[in-house]
Order: sequence, then structure tokens, then C-alpha cells
Amino acid sequence: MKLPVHAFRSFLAYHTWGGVACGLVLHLMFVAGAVTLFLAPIRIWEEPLQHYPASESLKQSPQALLERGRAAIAHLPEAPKRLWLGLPQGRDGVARFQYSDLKTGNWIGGWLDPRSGAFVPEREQVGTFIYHLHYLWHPALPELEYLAGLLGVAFLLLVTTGVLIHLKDLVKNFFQFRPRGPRKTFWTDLHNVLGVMGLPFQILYCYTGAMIVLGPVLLTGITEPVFGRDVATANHVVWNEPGKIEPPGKEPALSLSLDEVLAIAKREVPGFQPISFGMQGYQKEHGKVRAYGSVPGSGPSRYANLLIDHQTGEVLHVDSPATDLASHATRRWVTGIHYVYFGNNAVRVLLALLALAGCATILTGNWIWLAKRKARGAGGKPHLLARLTAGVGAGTFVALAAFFVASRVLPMELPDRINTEQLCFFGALLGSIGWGLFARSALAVWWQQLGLAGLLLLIVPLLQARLTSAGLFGGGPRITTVMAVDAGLLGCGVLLLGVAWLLRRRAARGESAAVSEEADASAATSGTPGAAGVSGSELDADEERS
Amino acid sequence: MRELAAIFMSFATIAASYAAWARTTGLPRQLAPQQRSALAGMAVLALIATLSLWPRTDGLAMALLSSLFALCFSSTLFVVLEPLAPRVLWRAALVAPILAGLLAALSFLL
Repeated sequence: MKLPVHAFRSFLAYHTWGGVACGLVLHLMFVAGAVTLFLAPIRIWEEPLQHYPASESLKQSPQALLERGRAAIAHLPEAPKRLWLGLPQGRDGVARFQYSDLKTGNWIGGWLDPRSGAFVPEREQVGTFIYHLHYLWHPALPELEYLAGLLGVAFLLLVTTGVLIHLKDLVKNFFQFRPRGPRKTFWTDLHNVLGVMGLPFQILYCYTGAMIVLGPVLLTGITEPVFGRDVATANHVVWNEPGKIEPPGKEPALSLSLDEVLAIAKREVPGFQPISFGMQGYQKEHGKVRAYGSVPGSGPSRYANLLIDHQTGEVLHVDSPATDLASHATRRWVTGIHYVYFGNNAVRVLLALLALAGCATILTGNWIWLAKRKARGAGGKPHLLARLTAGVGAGTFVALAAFFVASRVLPMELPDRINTEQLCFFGALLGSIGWGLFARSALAVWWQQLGLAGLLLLIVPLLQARLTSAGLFGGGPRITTVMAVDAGLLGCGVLLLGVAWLLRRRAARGESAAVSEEADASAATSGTPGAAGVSGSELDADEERS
Repeated sequence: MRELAAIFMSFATIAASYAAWARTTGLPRQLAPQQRSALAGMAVLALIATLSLWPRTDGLAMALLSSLFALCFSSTLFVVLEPLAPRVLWRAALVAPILAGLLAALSFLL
């Protein structure tokens, strides 16, 4: 199928300028997304207090764990409005307790040490920060999340226009990659191969990601036109919430224990296994408790939650695959696919690699633009986009590696430790971008920064041994999750060093090609024969070399 | 283990497809049309094996989706690396179905 010329040009313009405008932020989101696939193990790895088998915490009943959390906040002038208890999932980890801040209403969380019984406030957020970075969310500016949703839509537009402009050659050039061709051909082929091969992943994950972020906004927009003032039906159909919930009263009242709540949940939803309990108005008249858990089911259909009156035990609402309307099932599948509620670590590794291939698709788009610009004779000093692509592209890895190092180096008792860690991340990212902007060669920035990121990641498991004996280099009883994350970091470090080495070799060959060209030029001017024969390197000199 | 077997089989699928349909390959000699047709048939068989090897613990839809991701990854890897290191890739393509078969047999036996 061949597009009309004007359509082809329009799509190409959208594809090119959209990619140049959004590419670098999308790259950051994709890298963070690849790391986020391993959020659960990273959350255990990062906090030494979590390095216990889950069975130690699960020896106690949910109510006993809740009482320990409540004992830790007994000094507060009044009871928090909301409480939350999370049970460890999988083979490792400890219970988590959260309460809402009396002034701001924000959650304050921590861990329940299974041995001492103490409540240890949260002091480490490597995994959570990277997860938030994936959709650009930050407590200081939560609205950035919507920008992430819009960028997801923009990426869908880029993918669609990319397919349309490549459509006529899609089958013919399906397997075509010519690494020894001219620079523009190399980047174009690589961009096409990565884009076409990764198309199902890119479409599916951008679509579901954009839906998760922008869906609630769109649904809120259509709620009133569709349902009028019938809030109860709207709540049920759109959000799968009970039609109308009475807020908890202010009078003190006895609340059921969480063990009783769990028994009710198990009776109502056979096979229910608890994950967490969210409480509102605990020990108040008609307080509410929401029990979240897993149910026998496959893929996205493996989770359910129940809203229960904490005073009377009346089940107010069940949100499970069995009670889903079509709208709820859609949401369940959209979130289930994006959050990878299916498969095991093999799928997660595949998705992480495909996400990194997505990053390469984005960055190669920038390099095509730069190669075209050079072909038009607009070479010379490295273009700002080349500098930014190097600074952000490689700098993202430096920043993440520095973030991991900071998380292992900063003392656990340091006040405001979480913010200090985040400052290290942003400092490293800005430093890398500055390095890219002021460097003479963008290719050198790539291999130097990737090499630095690789080295930093290699030392993280060694630093981890300072904090815990459960890792690869620890001397104590090993925890599989901690060892797996250590091994993963070592693997990533080696991979980054390998890529840096290859790029360095290429940069050196580019330099030698340049020296040959200079020798040819001087030989030509001095009339020395023979020297011109060595200048036939097929490697075109590094485009970014100044 | 079955997931790994399916990933190896997806690699074999892509290698056979590449040999059958790519315009140029890093193979030492050009393939005859009959050989290409035979490889296309093998690619289809390998594809069926890939799809059927992925465990259905999360349902058929998710197994198919996971297999699709395995195929995406294998194709990216193969197409990008084949022109750079053809010998390594073609040898790996020969070994992949054997490994897949061994892993699949082990997973059924254990």
C-alpha cells in the first residue's frame, strides 16, 4: 500500500517532530518502566529490615500485627482517620503498617520488625521512586502524571505514523538491517527493525499506560452526561464502588478484629488470601475496612477486594472477577496487562528487554534526524539534540546507578534520607546532561557515561554487604530475593560495561579513520603517492566529532 | 523451565523465518527456493511449538501474549545481530530447538 505524497509528508513530519520533542522524556519513562518490572524484589532488597522469610511475620495474625502498629502510634494526640496493614507476599519480607498524617492526610508508613516487634519508619524508597518516575509522578507536582499520560498518547501517534510511513516497505524490508551501510542507512534500518519487531509491546504498553492515567479523567468527564445526578449508579458502573456509602460516624464503637474480617472475606469470596487491609474510622461507629486479596484465578482475574462495615461485619461491596460488569472487566484487563499480573520472571525479563529496545527505537529516531541533517551538509559541531540525546540517553543510566549507590552509602539513620537519595538521582541526571552539553564528542559521552553507570552498578552489591548479610556478598543466611537483585545489578553492570567497550572501540576506529583522512589530505597536498590507499575505511567518521 | 523452552523455540522460529524470507543472509551460500520453502514450513512448525510450549497457568490469552513477546524479543535479537555475528547466530539457531526440546522434556518429566 502506497500513501499519497501529501499524506506521507504529513505523517513523516508528525513522526519526526513528535519524536524529537517527546523522545527523551519517553526514554526516561521506558527505562524506569523496565526497572519497575522488578519493583517487588527491589522493595525487599532495598530495606535490610525486610530480609526475613515472610513466614516469620505471618506467624502472627493480622489483628496482632495491627495492634503492634497501633501501639507505635499510641503517642499521637488523636487516632488517625485511616490505617493500613500490608502482609508480606511471596517468600520474603515483613508486614507494613501505614497511618494517615493528622494534618496533611498523607500516608506515613513503616515496617513491623518480626523479631523485636518494633515499628521502623520507612527510610528507603529506591523502588517506589523509580516506579513514580515511570509515570513522572512526584509528591511535589502530582499533576505531571497527566503529562505522562499525554506522552503515552503521543507515543501511540508516533508508532501509528511510523507504521503508516513504513507501510509500503514493511513486508519487503521486514528483516533488513545493514550495519555496514552509510550512517543514515544504519540508523534507519535499526530504527525500523526495533520499531517493527517491538510493535506489539510498544502499542500494548503505551495504550494501557495512557488508559490507566487518562482513563479516570475521561470517565469523570462522561459521568454526568451519561448518568446525570445518579451518583450511585455511576459509582457502581464506572468505578466498581458500592452505590452509596455512609461515612464512618464520630462516636466510638467496637470494631471487629481483622481476623474476623478475614473470616468474613473468605466466606464471601472462596479461596480469598489476604494481601492488605485498609481501614477508615477504626473503632468508630460504622467504620469501614477494605480487604484486598488474591483469589483463585488466572492472569488479571487473580485479585479481589471487599468493603465491609467494620462494626457490624456487613459486606457492603465485593469487587471480584465474579461480580465484574463489562466496564470493570475492561479495567481489570487493562491494568492487569500493564502491571504484568501474569507470567513469571521470564515474562518480566522479556518485557524489560523489549522496553530497552523501545528506548533504542526512540533514540535511533533522533540519530536518523541528525544523520539526515548531516547529509544535507549541516554538520560541523555536534547539534544540541546530539548532545541532549547523549546526556539524557546515557545519563538516565548514570542517574539510576548513582541512585542505587546512594541508597547503599547513605547511613540508614540519616534524617530525611529519602529526599537526599532523590537529590542524588536528580543531581546525577543534571550532571550527566551538563556533561553531554559541554563535551566535545557525543559518542565519547555515550561510552564514558555507560561505562560509569556499569562500574557504579557493579559496586552496589558490594556496598549492600555493608548493610545486610543476606545478599550475594553477605556472610549470613541468604535471602533469595536479595541475592537475585544483587545478581541482576551485577548483570546490568557487566552489560553496560560491554556496550561502553564496544562504543569506545567504535570511537577509536572513528578517530583512526579521521587520522587516515588527514594523512590522505596531507599526502595529496605534498604529492606523496601511496598514502591515499589507506583511507578507504567504510566507517564514516564520528558525526558528532568536533 | 517451559517458558525458557518456549523462548528458545521462538528463537528457532525467527531463525527459520529469516532463512526463508530475508533477502540476504549471513549463511555461507544462497539457499535454493525448495530449501527456502522447507525452512518456511519449519518456521510454521516451530511457531506452533512456541505457542503450545508456553504454560497456560494464566490462561490461553496470556500464554499467547507472552509467546508474542518472546517472538518480538527473539526477532529483534536475531535481526540486529545476524549481520554482525552470523556464525554465532546460526549456530545458536541450530542449538536452540534442541535445547528447547530438552527443557520441555525435563519440565514434563519433573
